[in-house]
Amino acid sequence: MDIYLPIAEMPINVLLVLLLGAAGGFLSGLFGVGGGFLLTPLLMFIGVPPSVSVGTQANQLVGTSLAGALAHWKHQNIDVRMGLVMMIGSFTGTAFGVVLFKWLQYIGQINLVITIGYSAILGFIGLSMFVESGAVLLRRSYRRYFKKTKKSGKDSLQKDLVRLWGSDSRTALDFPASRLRVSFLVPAAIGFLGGLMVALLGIGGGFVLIPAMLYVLRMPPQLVSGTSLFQIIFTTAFATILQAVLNQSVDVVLAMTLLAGSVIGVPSGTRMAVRMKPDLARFLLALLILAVAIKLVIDMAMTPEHPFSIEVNQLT
Amino acid sequence: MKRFLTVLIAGLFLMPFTARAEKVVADVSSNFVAVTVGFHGTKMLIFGALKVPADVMVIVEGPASRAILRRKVKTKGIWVNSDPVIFSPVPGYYAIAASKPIEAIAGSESIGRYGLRLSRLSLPFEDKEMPPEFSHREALLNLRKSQGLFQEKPSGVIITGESLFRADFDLPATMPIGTYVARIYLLKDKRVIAEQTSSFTVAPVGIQASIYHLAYDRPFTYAFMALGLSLLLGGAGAFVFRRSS
Repeated sequence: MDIYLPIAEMPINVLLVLLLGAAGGFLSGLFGVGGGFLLTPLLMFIGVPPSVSVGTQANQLVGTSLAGALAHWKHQNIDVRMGLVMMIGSFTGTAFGVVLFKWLQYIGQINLVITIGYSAILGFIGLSMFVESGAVLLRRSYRRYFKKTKKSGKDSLQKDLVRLWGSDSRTALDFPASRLRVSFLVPAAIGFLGGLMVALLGIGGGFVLIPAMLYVLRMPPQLVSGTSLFQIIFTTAFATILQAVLNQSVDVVLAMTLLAGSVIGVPSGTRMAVRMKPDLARFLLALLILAVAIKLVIDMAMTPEHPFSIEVNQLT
Repeated sequence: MKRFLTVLIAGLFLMPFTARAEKVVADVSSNFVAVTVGFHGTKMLIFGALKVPADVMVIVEGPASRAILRRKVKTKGIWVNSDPVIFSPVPGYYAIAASKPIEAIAGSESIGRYGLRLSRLSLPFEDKEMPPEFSHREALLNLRKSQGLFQEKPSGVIITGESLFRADFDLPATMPIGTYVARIYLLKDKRVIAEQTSSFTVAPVGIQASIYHLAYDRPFTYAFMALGLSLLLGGAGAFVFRRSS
């Protein structure tokens, strides 16, 4: 069953798109990542133009991240103040990214930048997760691992604020919920990276933001996902507006079909997550991410089947 | 009123002459192609009657576009797009149908002038100082052919009883939106002896049209609608997750 996408101006199989959305939803239910890193390349693979893939993903992610953030909101796992400060950076990053996207498209290198961007990010994240979770699985040192996390939990219970970069400068801000004092430029810079990824790659950037918030900002682990998702709702909303107004690259029919699929897919992912050991889940995610990265690198190095590509714009 | 009368009188005088001059009458099966939710391409029939025995060629041409062609070259181990070659204007759709093999019924001069073969189609390029290599032109034609947007069918026109003709055209779902012109040529002794044109419009309708026009005419409203829908569906999703977990 095909539906005609009004903005992408092409017909697409509804079941295929629902399935893609469900796969993305399953991943986010299972691993807590957005699944965008799979969806955007797959959309381009089935013929959706890169700009429409990225613009539409931003729109879809608004709904997905809202659904995720609501669950965290209930458990009060969101540092709103931190999220707002990150947004200073992420909005700037998004605006910069949208302009950069347009320029790269103009010079004809957008596909290359997207591919390199993906393979670099996925390769790095996949490899570090692979090594870390693989080591844990191999040594079966669950107990030691458990102790370590318990200790860091104790740290975050201290009444004093943890002091980080620029905590003495005039840009310093207190974040009581996360119990730290840091220059607002640090979370803003992390947000900037996130915004850039939303605008250029069509991903929320959770799996880059989360490690950065954990290891750079030293935020309490239980606040990290919620705060990242909270921030992603507004960043993707801002990206949706910019992409729709400047590039007309948001296909609402495609976005809603993907989102519907994702709503179907998430519960089965969460059910599976309950049954699976977290380290095994992380190890599997690492394998998946690495596989995507390797495929992208091979595609770049292989002689293309069609040496020519065409871009057609209607004259008005 | 005076102008209307002048036109009317002129029309009355001219009518017999034009009627006599017409060696062909032709029309399209539909003046409007509606792009709906389930749109997956369509067929268009061009038909008509010949007043004189002749060979027939029909060309359907879609709205003009600008085509940017890029060739991938290997740089530092990876394949990168090289400098683009821009062709403009390029028809967004171009289909040629003939009653017999084209070279047999049309002379070289006519083929060039009326664009009766894809290989002789005029494809101007933007950068006049740097003419494109032949391969770029070939690639453009081949890519468009593989997408079904350029077609050449030497037996696409069927003539019945020496006076009725018909030509069927496949319009793929990826066809551009806009006005299409059908040109019907009568050929004799390898030369065009008469021509007629007809046209049809391809446009989105219903919800497709509303979305398309909203996105281009009121992008802010469109953006906020897209956001609203996404938040609504995401919120509903959260409700579903909570109940299932």
